[in-house]
Amino acid sequence: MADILSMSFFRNALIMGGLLSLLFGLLSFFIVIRRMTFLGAGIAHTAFGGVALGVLLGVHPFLTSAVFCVLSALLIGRMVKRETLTYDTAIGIFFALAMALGAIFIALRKAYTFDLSGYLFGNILGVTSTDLWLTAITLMLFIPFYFGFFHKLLFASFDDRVASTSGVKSDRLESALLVFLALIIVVSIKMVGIILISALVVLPASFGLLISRDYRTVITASILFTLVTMSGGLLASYFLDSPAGATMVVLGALLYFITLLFTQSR
Amino acid sequence: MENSPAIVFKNATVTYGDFVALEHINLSIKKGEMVSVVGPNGGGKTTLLHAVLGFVTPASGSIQVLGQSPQQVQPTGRIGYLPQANAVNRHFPVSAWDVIAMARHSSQPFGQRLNTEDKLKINAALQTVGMSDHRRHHFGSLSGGQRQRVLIARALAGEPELLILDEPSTGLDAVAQDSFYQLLQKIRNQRGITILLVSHDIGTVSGFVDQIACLNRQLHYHGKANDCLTAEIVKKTFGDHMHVLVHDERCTTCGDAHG
Repeated sequence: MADILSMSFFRNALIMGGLLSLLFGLLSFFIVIRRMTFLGAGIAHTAFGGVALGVLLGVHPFLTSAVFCVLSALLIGRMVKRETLTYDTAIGIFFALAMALGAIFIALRKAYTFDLSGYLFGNILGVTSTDLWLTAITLMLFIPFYFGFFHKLLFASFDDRVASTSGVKSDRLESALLVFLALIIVVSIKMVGIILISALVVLPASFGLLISRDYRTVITASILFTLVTMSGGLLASYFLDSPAGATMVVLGALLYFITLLFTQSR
Repeated sequence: MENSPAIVFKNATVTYGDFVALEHINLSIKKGEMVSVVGPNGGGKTTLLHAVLGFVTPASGSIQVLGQSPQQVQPTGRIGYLPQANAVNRHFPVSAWDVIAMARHSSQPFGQRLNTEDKLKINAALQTVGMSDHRRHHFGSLSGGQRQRVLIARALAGEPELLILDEPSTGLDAVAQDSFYQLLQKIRNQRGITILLVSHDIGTVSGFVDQIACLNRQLHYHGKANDCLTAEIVKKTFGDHMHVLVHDERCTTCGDAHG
């Protein structure tokens, strides 16, 4: 164990895992109870276009993918609110468009030194101290928003229209939540990968909802689930010599299904 | 009970594209009154409530709610709103107390917790609707009638001047319906709140409200529930296939309502 911790890339990955556990553990609750889980998958995939653009322009992919994801999230939210499109249609279009743009940007880059697999499936070797700082800053912004507006978000998630007649600015809160969803996805891309991120959006709160009908317990369980999944997945990937992001997702899915079987047999 | 109107529709027409949902509606509801809008499905009942709540804007005419436009009054918390029962997610991980507390949290500044006064108001609302013993129960595990009571308590905890209910008795059996409407009468009498509700069950609701408004895109009748509701009005509102069978004391004075 000491051997593993002596490796700086593994330490970085563990710290990143801890930060992401808090971010996804908290975020997942609102995404799942608002039935926006497909949005998580959709926005994660739009990040691909942003990452590819960043690589093409020689800009840090965090910046370009953040712009892609935040804009996609806000545009999807706006279109659905105005009933221009349904969620699944809007997500489907943005998802495909951003992936297509990503493919074009990669093709435009003549020298092929782009770690495509790392961005799609995650690569813990790629987690740098800059990534840790960006994730920590995202967490520092997210925590005050989350707990400061928690009960208003809860009301708006339970009953959007009633919340707005009670003075809750539901639309603004939803937009802010979508921006954080986009940013949290972007900071986790290197660790987990674009394709696997949706599991971290869906599984934590879904697990929490299996074991409790009290939101406080659901959120606590959601954070612990992500912590166990990420740290356990990292360790398992080291010993099994398997891809870390994929191992975390498999471990999380296993935990979920075992709990599902246990709770349904009661 | 004040006589100034809580809600005024002046020749209001509401459209969705080419579809006219409400046509030339003139309606005035006094403060402290309990009024039910009745009519067939698709007759514009919910649209009328949404117009009062400011969710839709009239294409022509005007609407005033508590002396302001619906859009002005909507974010103030002066209106308590109970949507249709199916609008609420029963799997949401909250207790009856949590649901009612939402109303108090909605007016809290950033990050502030509930104070003693808030908690007292939540308890008072629970007591008013007779749900104090169920405060810690999961909201989705309660019966349909109990959930409606909790949602009423949430509206009351926000101390509204106007309570709007969309098909509140849907899914309730006859006994639970009577009990629910009695609760609304008690709330109106104790707190002087104006209550506007929508129902397609003209028979049950007319025994509990002060006035009814018969709506099928146009307003065909607005008056006391105990006055004569003629067969002609009922046919205009609900269509020719509607048969009315009156069983109560109004039989003796309203013979033309029989069908």
